[in-house]
Amino acid sequence: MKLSKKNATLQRVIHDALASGKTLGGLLVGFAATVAGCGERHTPAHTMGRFPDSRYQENAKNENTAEFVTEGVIAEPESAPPQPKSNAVRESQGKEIVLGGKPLPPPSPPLPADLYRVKGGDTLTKIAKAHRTTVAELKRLNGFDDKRANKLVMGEIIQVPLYNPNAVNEDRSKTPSVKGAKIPLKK
Amino acid sequence: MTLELTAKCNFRCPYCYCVWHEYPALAKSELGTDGWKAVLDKCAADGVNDILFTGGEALLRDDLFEILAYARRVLPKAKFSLFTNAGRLDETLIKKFKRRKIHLATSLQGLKTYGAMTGTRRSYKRLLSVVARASELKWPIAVSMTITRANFDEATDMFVAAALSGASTIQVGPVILGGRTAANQELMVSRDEWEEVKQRIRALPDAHVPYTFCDEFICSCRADTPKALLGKWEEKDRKPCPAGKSFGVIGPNGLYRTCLHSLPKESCR
Repeated sequence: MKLSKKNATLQRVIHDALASGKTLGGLLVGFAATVAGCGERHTPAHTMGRFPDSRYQENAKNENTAEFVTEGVIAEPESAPPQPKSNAVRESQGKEIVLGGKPLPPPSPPLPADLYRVKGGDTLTKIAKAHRTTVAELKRLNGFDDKRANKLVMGEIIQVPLYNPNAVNEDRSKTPSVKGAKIPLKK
Repeated sequence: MTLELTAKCNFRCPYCYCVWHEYPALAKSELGTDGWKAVLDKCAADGVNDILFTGGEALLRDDLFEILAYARRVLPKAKFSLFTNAGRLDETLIKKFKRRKIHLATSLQGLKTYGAMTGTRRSYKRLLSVVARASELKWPIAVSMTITRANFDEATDMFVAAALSGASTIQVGPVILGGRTAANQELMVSRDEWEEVKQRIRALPDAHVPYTFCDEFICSCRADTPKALLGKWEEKDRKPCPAGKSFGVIGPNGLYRTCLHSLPKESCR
């Protein structure tokens, strides 16, 4: 099934992590905010013949568009929740904020060490150098062909090898440039 | 109201709760298109406002969209949902369901154990792709996860994979006694193991996806459950199933049951 670049990368990250025996919990830190609130939320009256005995949604504190549980059946508001209009301020799923009619991007959480969020001005060559790898390796990790490699999208999350994990999780502004970086040598 | 449109299924989940695995007579003489239309007429006359179409695998019915179209005609304001194993679900179908405002739900049976838990050679990858694509199409799918002894170790990974793929909600529960599980009781997790799964999921970083836990091991509708088994898994403060009060089920042969796990008592034909 054809997916958007973001989701295709995400699926690849999930598959690779599982294939290498890693657990997925760490991915939530980097990815949850980018996938949350991506569509209408709904729940069938009941699924798999199961009913939420707890009578409440476990993480209800995070949701203002979530379902309401009554008498063991998850009920949904009759119509979709109203969308915010211009100048409205909304906090949905605790992340998405709309101010003055323009959605602000969600805050970027720190990414796991093997992931990198593309910034303005980045090229595969720059990213490869910063992570002490090669362009070919980045292409291989992310399934890029030659055309795709020249079209990195700002904010896109790509996989990087774990050669230099310290440089990956830091904010780019705080990361020393490759030229000026002093690499500690073992005595 | 839940309508079990067919008992046919392209998966062979060893923990399937469908009662016809224990009582095959319930799956015989399935209703045809006209039969289901008559059921929908009755639902409309009785003021049903929420219908879940399921099976078996509802997508195996060639007349599914004819039934759905009729349902919409006689119940224009009702909420419709469809539960599918997603084996046949693709982008075209997702778009069709979205146009018809039919909410979707599926289940993630495992990751590495997906093949074993579905009795197929399939991989979890396609299911996650379907969930992700549905999310992209702004018609996300609710995902159910049933915890068994086989997928116990990957429960949190299943949760994270479903959340990251764009599940609209996630519902997690232990495998319930009944259906095929009656013959595969070794798949049932203990109450302590189930509590451990809940703690592990609660301890995860916030996935920004609403989720619920179902603590049910044996539905209280099943009066025929041996006492020895009840003692093993029964909750101390067991809540009565709301079956028959807030919902009911019509099986593949058109017989009414109060609950998915109960046996037919009266017919609505």
